[in-house]
Amino acid sequence: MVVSISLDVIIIAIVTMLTAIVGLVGYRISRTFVGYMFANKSLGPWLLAFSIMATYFSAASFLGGGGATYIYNLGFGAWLTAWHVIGVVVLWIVVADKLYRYVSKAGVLSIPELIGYLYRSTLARLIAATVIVALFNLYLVSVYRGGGIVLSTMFEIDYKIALLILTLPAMVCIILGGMKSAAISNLFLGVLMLIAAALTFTYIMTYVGGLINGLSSFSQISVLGISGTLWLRFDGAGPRLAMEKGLVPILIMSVTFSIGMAQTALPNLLIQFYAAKNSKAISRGRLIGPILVSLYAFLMFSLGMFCHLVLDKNLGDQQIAELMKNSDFVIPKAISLLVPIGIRGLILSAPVAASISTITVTILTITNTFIRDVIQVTISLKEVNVIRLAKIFSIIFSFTPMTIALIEDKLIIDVVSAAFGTIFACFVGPVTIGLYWRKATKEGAIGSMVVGALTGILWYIYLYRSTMIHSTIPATLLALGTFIILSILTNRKNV
Amino acid sequence: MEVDPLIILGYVLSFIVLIIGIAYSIYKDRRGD
Repeated sequence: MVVSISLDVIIIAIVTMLTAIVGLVGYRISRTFVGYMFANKSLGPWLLAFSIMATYFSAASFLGGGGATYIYNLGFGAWLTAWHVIGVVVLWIVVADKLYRYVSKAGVLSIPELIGYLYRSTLARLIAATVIVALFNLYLVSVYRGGGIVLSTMFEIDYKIALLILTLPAMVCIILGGMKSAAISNLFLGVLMLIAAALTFTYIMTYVGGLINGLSSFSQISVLGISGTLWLRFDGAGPRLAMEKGLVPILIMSVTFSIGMAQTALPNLLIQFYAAKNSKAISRGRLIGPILVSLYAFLMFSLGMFCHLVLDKNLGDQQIAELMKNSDFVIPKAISLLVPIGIRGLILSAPVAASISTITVTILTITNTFIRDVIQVTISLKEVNVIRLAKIFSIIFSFTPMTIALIEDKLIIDVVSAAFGTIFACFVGPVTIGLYWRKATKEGAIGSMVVGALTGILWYIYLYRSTMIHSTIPATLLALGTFIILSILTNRKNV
Repeated sequence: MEVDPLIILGYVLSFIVLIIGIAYSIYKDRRGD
């Protein structure tokens, strides 16, 4: 699929350049560590809510999330939406305010430092730092890969150049202005993502004659010999192997839960609450944040199946079969067919915007953790040197995942695919539950992070394909079990 | 056209949770929490 070098390409180029230019906005306040990493604690509710949304939704939300129901039945869209709504409501109502109060009271400046404070343990802090630096670097590899593959395919450019197009604006933005610039560019990119989602929804729904008409059409069609009615049954359409084993519902629930609920414990989201202007910003953001995420989820996550009505009559069986294996190009293909030039460029800049907005804040999270919880724990540094180091490591952490994204190795691809859910499994106990549960202990927290990390990666590599249960589910259950049991046992001992 | 109840449940649950979340946020905001 190639987009002609035209107005569309110019629009996408403007979007990426604006991201870098926004870096200048935060330049003035990026001269102290708190200024650089936490925008001088100046983020109001709109910046905070948009930035968290744009960080959470990478290109995968637009391409994978949008196209998924081309393969899966509509249940995937319904439950992906449901878990996202539940996740964002829990994040803003249960986690945000409590976290902000803790952070303000203790004066901590990173998630590992919060863990060290909660459990009075330097070891727990160091393990949390190791998990964040390692797993977020791996997670970024998947973000770079997703964005890079899409860019290179759409514009027929070299994959390496596509990776640089993603890396350079994000890097310039955060080196110049840190969190302030990242948040402002995320506001801009987040608005763009919502506009793109609304336009995509409108064009596809208009083409199929509205929701009810579109759904009714599935009783009259078949896709590669599979009856269209299976897209309306929860145990119906899905990946071929899952259909043969009768495991489509389990696969849908485990994957959608893993993606949707991860936001309640991801350090690259939680760290942004540290940068809130005051508690009023949190309470106002509590209303805005869930609406933004829910709106995007409702607009995007169920569109894939309707693309059968848009695309299939123009495609051969071979092409449909390819899209039924990898649905990432379903939405871009449908947009190319339905949307006029210019608006098409605006919509197709959404996955690029989504990648960049995720990359900026995640690099800052890794850098912050490395400086605050590894370097500053061992060496005493002057403020000016801390800023210099932070900017140097922002460059290093921009290029490390980009370099790994160049390696075509099945094991590496498996590990990076597992990283996102594994981060959630590692921190949901020690951070999200630990904020409320006073009997939690350092042994529980350490055990939970170690068990979560090992289970998440190993299950994905060895057991995901045979069981069709996403690694996040067993990793979360085992990590939480370890957290609770070890805390109860060691709490009694301590008493 | 017959859509599986488990699919409808996903969308209905989304709406209910979102409305509860919004209502709770407004309530807390008015109380000044």
